[in-house]
Amino acid sequence: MSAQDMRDVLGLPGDGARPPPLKKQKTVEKRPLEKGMAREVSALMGERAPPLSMIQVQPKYKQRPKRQHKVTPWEWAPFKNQARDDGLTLHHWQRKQPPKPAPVTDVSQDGEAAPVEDQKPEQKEKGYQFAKFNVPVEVPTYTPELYDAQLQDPDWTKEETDYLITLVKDFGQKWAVVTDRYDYQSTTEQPAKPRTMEDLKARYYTVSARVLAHNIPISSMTGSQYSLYSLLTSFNPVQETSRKRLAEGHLHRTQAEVDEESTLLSELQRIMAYQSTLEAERADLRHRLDYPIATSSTATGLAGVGGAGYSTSAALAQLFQQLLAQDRLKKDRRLKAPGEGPAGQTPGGQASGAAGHRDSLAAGSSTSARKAPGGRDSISGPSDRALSPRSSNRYFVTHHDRLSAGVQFASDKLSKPRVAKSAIQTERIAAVLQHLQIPEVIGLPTQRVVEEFERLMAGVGTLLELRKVAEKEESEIRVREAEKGIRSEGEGKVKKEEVEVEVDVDVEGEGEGERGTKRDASHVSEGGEESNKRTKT
Amino acid sequence: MNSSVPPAAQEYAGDEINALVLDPGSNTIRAGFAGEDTPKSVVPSFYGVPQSSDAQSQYLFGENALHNPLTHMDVRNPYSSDSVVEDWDVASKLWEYSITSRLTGTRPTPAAKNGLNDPAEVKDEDGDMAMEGVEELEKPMAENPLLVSEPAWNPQKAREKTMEIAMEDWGVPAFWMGKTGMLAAFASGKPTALVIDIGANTTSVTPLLDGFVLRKGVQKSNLAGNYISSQIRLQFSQMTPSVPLVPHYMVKSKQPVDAGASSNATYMQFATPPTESYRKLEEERVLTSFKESIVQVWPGPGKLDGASGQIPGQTNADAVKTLPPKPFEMPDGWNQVFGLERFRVVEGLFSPQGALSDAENPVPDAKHTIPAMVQAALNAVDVETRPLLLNNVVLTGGGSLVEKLAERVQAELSALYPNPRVRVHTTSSATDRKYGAWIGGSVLASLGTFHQMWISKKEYEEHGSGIVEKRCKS
Repeated sequence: MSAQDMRDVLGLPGDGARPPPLKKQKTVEKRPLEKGMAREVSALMGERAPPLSMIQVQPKYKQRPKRQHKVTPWEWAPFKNQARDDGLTLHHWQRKQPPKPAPVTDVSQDGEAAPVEDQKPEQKEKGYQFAKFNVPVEVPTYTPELYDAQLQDPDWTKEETDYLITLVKDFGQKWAVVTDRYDYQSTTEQPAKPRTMEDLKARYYTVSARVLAHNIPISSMTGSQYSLYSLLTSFNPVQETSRKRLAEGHLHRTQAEVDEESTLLSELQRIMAYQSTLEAERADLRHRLDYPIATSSTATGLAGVGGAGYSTSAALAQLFQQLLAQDRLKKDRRLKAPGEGPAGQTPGGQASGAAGHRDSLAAGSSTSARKAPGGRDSISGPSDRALSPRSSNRYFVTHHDRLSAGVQFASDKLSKPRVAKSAIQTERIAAVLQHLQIPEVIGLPTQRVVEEFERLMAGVGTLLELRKVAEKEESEIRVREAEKGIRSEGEGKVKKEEVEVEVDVDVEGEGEGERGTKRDASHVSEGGEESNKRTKT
Repeated sequence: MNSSVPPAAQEYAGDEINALVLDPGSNTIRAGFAGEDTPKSVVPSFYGVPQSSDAQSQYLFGENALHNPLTHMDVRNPYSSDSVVEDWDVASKLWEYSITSRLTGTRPTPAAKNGLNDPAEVKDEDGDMAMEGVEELEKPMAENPLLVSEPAWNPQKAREKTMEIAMEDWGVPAFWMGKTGMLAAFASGKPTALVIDIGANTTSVTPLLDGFVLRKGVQKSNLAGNYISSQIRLQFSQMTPSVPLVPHYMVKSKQPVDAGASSNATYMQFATPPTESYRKLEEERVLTSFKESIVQVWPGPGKLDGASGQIPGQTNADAVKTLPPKPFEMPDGWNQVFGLERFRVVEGLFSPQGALSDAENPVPDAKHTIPAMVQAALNAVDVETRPLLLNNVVLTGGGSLVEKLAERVQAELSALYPNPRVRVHTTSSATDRKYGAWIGGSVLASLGTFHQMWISKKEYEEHGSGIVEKRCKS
């Protein structure tokens, strides 16, 4: 009797929260029938699982992998090596040539059967795959007649020459080995001469050169053949011997000598590194001097309309023509082509002329520049695109190529160039500015003033850099002079003069550079002063 | 990788043809198949001659037979003190034993012909192959080409004799001989090297250029493993109290005793004790274990008796004395710690002054020490190859396994030649150094490009044994 029955009997409402009988019923149904057990017997178990011992477990193994291909057959196959001439047959394991696959479809026949047929004869032709590495060394060959005619040498018999050539061939021109194995047993009564490697080389090279020249006359040799010929004929055994002696001495140096050499080498390396940095700096300087100083006008883009800086007269003329063309399209033409006479002048033109005059006055006294914002020009056209350079100047209309991103203070243009990265450099800039009597605070930083200031600051930067270079050069000259002093002390007087001349030239060169530097610097400072004056006015 | 795909030939340039490699030495004979990394068969070069029985012709080969304490068994060695074969009769049998006992014994049916690998449908085509298998080959090595190593100073007669044995007694289809120095260099992958091979009987220095031995530079001396053993014996006798040397076969049971105390062991009783030569062989085994576990070389710089670099007024020997000594226990339980003594016994390899000597063991010749031999070898070769060789010094041989030997050689050579760069190459693996020459032979004989170098049976029949001089030039 279950709890539900009890509730039914007592008339209690069914417990909706947990319906266990339903669940239990389900599990009983769900439990799968055990294998090898009658269903009736299994039902006797109720909801509990039967004890393990009653279940016959059928072990399940992993399925055998299905392989489509068969095991590749290998065979202990005989082979012959084409590099041998005795036909020795050795055996090695080799993949058996697969039998032709049965033609299942047309596609497989076309795709697979055809290459297999191709392969077989190809492999037969190829032969043993390592035979190709058998590369014999080429040595000169000669007939007895040729030997008698050209290769005679009082120091060498033909037999010994033959022996040498065989050895060279056998040991692949490895001269150390040839010399080591050289053991000529002379057949005649005169004993075999002891031969050094240089003797052997000299003889072999001579023979090679003569045979080469005999086979191919020098006049008809190709470039590589001739270079080989000249190489063969230029062998110098005496020089080679002395070189070997030097090398031997080098080999037997003591530890102290080795140490000294390594110190000297590192010293040399250091000097070379210094030299190269110096060279780089000088190149940098030359680079700087060759190029014109970038004017600040392009940077501010005051005059720039079309985008590029109009720094040359040709470009300016072009600009004028462009503006003129634009102007012609408009009814109210204010620009006058040079060819147009004064008779064609419209009242507007006259007015513009007057305005131009006024503009020039206004430009002179910038204080009144802002006084007439709504002048006649504003009536003449709704857009400011057609403003003449003069009027755009007047109304401070500026055109920029590109505005730098972000917000920045206009005052930065005045304060930033005064500050350099290092404090020393900042001080130097301050000193130069003080010398030029530029006030700390510039009273009226108009557009033009700022422009002039920027130009000035660029000049100051160049001046400082050139000063630095000049100092370096001076110290260099001092070092050279000191070196010269030491050298001249050590050496004789004859040499000393030479050195002096040399150094003099050197110093002159340096001096010129220096003078150039100074000139430049003064020029810059002059320019700075000029601009300064202009700013003041 | 699919195992049915053969490795590309260009990958390792190998082509294995089941060649045999035989590396006979005066202490052990190494044999195996080319292409493997260790010799399968290592047989002692000593052999037993039972004298009591009437079977005079029967020799005892192999470890098991040799170390059995038989009465009246004489232990002999077919090699001279120069590691050159003296007794050809026994040597050939010994070599044959080393190959047939482990490698080619009773001939099994080749795997290709035992029916397991025959595909069903191509049986008809293979019908003639079965006939091939039936063919009887009575010679022991009729199927395997043979590569034999030899010392660099092997006389021409010995080379020809070796070839005759291989071709006529063993029936090899192809044969080649290589110098041990060259093969050892190949094992460490260097065609140009200065090989210092410290064996049992001889230490040799072989300069090698592009695979060719520079014969004029070859040096050899007897200051090798056996010399160290004799130094140890001398050291034992000179110590107070002298060290008793009792081989294993003499000891029945033993009790632990304190260091230096006399042993407490019961000894075997023999009606007729084994021969003196047998006892010597067994003593050598104890000395070998002493060498392997205790002996060390002063690593340099300087000699053991030289002035110390660190502390003025002291020698390196004084520095060694401060090191903790190492204990060694004899088979009968006697044990002792060894300090300076374990350094002293190998010093003779480097300086004659450092060697122990008495009336029977004279001071070694200065030119037989390792640095002197290297110097002599280098002086005999061309100047330009010397730095090359010094940069490729290969140290090999079982004797080189003495601790810190490589460091000492490096230090000695660097002191001799401060200018060129000296580099001593050794493998850390003991097997690679013990079987260096064999491994080189194994590499060489399994190369595809090498198969054109074999001297075939046909060539031998045409030209006779003199062809070995012409063809094996290494």
